[in-house]
Amino acid sequence: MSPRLKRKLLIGLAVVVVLGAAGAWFTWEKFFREEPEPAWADAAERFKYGSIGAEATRGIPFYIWLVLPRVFPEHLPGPGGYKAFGLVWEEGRELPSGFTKRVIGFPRVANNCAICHTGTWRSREDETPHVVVGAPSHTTDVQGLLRFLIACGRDPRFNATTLLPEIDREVKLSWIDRLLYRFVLIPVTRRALQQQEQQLAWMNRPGWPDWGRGRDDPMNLTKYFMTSMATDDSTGQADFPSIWNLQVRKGDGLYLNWSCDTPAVRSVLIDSALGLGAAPDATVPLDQLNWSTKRRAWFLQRMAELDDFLSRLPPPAYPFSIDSTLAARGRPLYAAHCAECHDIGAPRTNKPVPVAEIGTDAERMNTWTQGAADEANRRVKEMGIDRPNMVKIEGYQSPPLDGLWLRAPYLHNGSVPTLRDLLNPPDDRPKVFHRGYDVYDPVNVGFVTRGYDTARHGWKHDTAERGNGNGGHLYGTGLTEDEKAALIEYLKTL
Amino acid sequence: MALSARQLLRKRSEELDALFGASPAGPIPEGEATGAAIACPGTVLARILAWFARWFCWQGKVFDPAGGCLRNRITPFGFLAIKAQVYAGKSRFDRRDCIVIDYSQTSLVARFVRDEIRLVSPGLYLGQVFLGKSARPALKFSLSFQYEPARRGWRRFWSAATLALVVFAIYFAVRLRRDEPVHYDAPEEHFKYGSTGGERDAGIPYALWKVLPAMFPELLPEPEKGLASFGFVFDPTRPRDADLPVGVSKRNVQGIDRVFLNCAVCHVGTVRDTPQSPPRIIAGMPANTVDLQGFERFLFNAATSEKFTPDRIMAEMERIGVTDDFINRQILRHLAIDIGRRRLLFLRDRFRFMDREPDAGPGRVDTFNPPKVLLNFPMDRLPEKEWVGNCDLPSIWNQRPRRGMALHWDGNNTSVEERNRSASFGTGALPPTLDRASVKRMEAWLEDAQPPPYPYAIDAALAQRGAPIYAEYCASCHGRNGRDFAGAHVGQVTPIEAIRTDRHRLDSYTPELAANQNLLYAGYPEERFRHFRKTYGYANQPLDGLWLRAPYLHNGSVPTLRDLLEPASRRPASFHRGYDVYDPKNVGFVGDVVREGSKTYFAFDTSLPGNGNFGHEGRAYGTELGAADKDALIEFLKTF
Repeated sequence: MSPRLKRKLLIGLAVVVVLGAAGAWFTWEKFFREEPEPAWADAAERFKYGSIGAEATRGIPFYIWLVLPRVFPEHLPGPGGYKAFGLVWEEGRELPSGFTKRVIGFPRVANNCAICHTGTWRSREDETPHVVVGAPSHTTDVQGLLRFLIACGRDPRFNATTLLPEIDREVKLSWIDRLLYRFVLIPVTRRALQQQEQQLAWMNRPGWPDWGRGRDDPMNLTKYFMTSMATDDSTGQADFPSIWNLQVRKGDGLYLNWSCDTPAVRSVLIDSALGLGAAPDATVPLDQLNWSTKRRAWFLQRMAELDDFLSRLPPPAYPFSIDSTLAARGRPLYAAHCAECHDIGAPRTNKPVPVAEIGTDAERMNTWTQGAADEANRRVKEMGIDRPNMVKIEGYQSPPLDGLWLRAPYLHNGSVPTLRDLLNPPDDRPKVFHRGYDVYDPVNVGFVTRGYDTARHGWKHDTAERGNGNGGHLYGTGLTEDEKAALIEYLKTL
Repeated sequence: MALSARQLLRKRSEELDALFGASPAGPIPEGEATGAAIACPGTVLARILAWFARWFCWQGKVFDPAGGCLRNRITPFGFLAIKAQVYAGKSRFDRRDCIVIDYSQTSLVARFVRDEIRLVSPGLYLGQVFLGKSARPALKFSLSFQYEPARRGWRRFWSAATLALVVFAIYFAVRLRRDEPVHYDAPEEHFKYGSTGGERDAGIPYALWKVLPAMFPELLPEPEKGLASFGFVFDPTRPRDADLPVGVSKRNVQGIDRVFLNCAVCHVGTVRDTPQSPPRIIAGMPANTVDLQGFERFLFNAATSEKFTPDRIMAEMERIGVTDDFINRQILRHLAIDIGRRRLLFLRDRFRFMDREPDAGPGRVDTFNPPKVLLNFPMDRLPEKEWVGNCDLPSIWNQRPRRGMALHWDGNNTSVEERNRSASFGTGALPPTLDRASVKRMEAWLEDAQPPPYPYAIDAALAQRGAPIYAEYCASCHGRNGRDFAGAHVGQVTPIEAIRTDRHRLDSYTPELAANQNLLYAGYPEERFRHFRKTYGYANQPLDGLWLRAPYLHNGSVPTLRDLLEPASRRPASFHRGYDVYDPKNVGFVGDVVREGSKTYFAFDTSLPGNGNFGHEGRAYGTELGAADKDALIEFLKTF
């Protein structure tokens, strides 16, 4: 080989190497470089806004997320941008509770536990809502939010021509970032949303019951979203639970989830977070590699911190007045009619009660099967995570009643609006009411469910609809009015 | 074997050196030689460089043996320039004979250049270029007499065309990057006339601004007054663009002069002592005469007219003598007017919600429904409770002591700086286009601008008797006086159940809007809005310059202070707004003038939604005081 040819080859090789290195650095900088999270003021702040690791797999580019409500308001349930979904949005915060923002190459928005587990209450309409970490997000329409994103992804206007001008009104993107948005981020996000439409087609079947505000279909989400099982015809709408004070749910032979599907706090935390997007995408090898080398360890550490925080998070005390004399009269009634199944440490608390005995709507329990549990366990093991296995048990859980006042509406499917209604026989309970309004009703102990504002802010729960039935749990329905009043007063102290 | 210039390019540098060394000097040639620069000979680059050099720099030499000199053909146009002497001499290369081309005596630009040529083949000379005193050649070239010089015509044409293109491109690049506001040195002038950056995105071409009132007189309340019929304030002392009213700024964007609103359109007002007096223009005062909604409707209605076409507008521009340069005329005719029309129609659609609420009238505006439009809330799905957001334009002098107070009528923001940027949206300024330096200048003026003192007679003794009454009834919410704002509840929100004034403005600002405002300026983390919050009452404000802030209450429903000290049942059920003649007896503007000259004043009806004049009444608010006490209190308030 002549020296000249050799020199040419060397120069050529050098050029290729330099270009390759520049390209690699550019790709890493624009798509993979992670910026550290900001320092959180406390564990509660981190719970509301801190990452659980969902941004890498399921993050939406921040500026696209920002403009979607402005570009597609017709897909929103009403005015107010994302607030129209009843999200808990604290004053001065860039994002609602339950939303995280991280820079991984580019800024992305994803979710964390708080989207379903941060609740609000008010004593009247003209009051700033009180935010309670760990409470059920009873105002939030998660299904509506998912449907909005899907509708945007399906809209033929989801392209750079429509989105970039709106982004331009908010921020001046560099010319490189503009090109990235135009040719990469917008098309990829669109494809991802359309993919999500496929994955969620089961919840949009015509005639299928809606989740409504404050609820989702957790086991079907697990089955279809996390384990990709074939769709069946079960439907299991269930209230978001409170997740404070989890230390009282830990112990051998104790179960969590409405139908006792999981035996450990650690498991339900991990599985829920994986379902929110912390799990790696099985179809993307790079994601799997990232997961096994870096993200898994970080994720498990984060779950351990959450476990610690939530275990010790005290339930909120009832903020309205309690008649202590009346409550004292209610205590023995509680001991006689409720304590065996609901007292912390009692023989039946945190354990399954057969459906035949409790008599509540069986749909939620029927969504979960042994096959589903096995599949879920297998998937989690595949990800290299070791956690107590999910199970299948016939029956509904009997939970402790800590912070009961903020856990309205009641029963696993939120079909009974107030405690007073729960102490009535099913025929006397409201057949139809609106849930999602956060003004409290201290007389009946639950949220206000009737009136113009409830219809405007809430969702209509029809107990005649499949999975929404309000029968069962007849305990205490035979008491006298005075006894019921005393019992309810006592329940306010829990 | 005869060599050609092209063959020389293919030889390697050492070969050419050897060839040069082996060749005779040859005779001094005559006439035009075709030149070829030889760089990187023997590589593929050589021909490309030679082509480039020939096209753009040098095409050859023209020898004149009688004069002992030559000239070079240079530039794409082939000009003859750069003269050199030609004589036989000794080569620096090998000290043997050669023909020397010597620039030292004859050329300014090339005086350090010395060429040497030798005849290497019939009609072909090989040359070496020496720079300065160097003994090694910097460059080689060939001169060929073997064929006719190439035709110059095409090269000249394409070169000229390219040059013209490059010049145009540079010109347009410079022109289209133009972004020059009109500059005002004096801070108060900058406040009244300076640009917030709104023209960059929302600007109306200045020529169009001038034409519209002339073209659509039928849409004006007072056709012969032009835009003044909307109550705009024209200040004859404006140093530049005196044909533009206060509150309208001008900026050249991309070569076109554009105008848009600035803060002063809502916060500069006028007062007259008598109907015959000239109006006094006061910066920082509520724009008591300006009917912003009327002006917006004028623009929207003009846009729907079939007259709003480029042809007719350009013709009207010529008729009234508003001209612009050729390029701008083309841009206007073929682009800007159509874009402007579409924009106005788009805004007209988005602002249709305004038809659902009573007219704002002069000196008032719906503050917080337009931000919902900016965020593209579906306005047709707003609950009725939010529809009416009309409220009085406020004064904005003396902002320094207001830092940290609850600002806006309902106290929804505690940051002066953020409030200013929020209001700047109303001047068309978006996060990427806000002229931050300019707005900072305006802010600096607002901080310490003082309202003018009450100019009419004040009975000092009576005012003195009013001081303790004020201290007892008003001071804790409104401050000690017009300069000292100390007070337990100053700058705080009084719950609506206590103040009991009209709720509509309060209800038009919603938790949904507040939440979404947290995302404004999200692309500029230091500037992101953080202080907006939903409140449930109206904020207690200091009363500096109170005399000029009539009519009173958040919705401007009570014309004078004397009326405010009456219970609602005795306040005027209706009056007229927009009239700037002062009423010193009752402290406020004269409210019962229906018409003056060609102008009809806006009839304000307190029974309409949002216009309620109730509230701020009862014992605690002084409406049950005796007549003498009320007189004293009012007199004291004149000192604010």
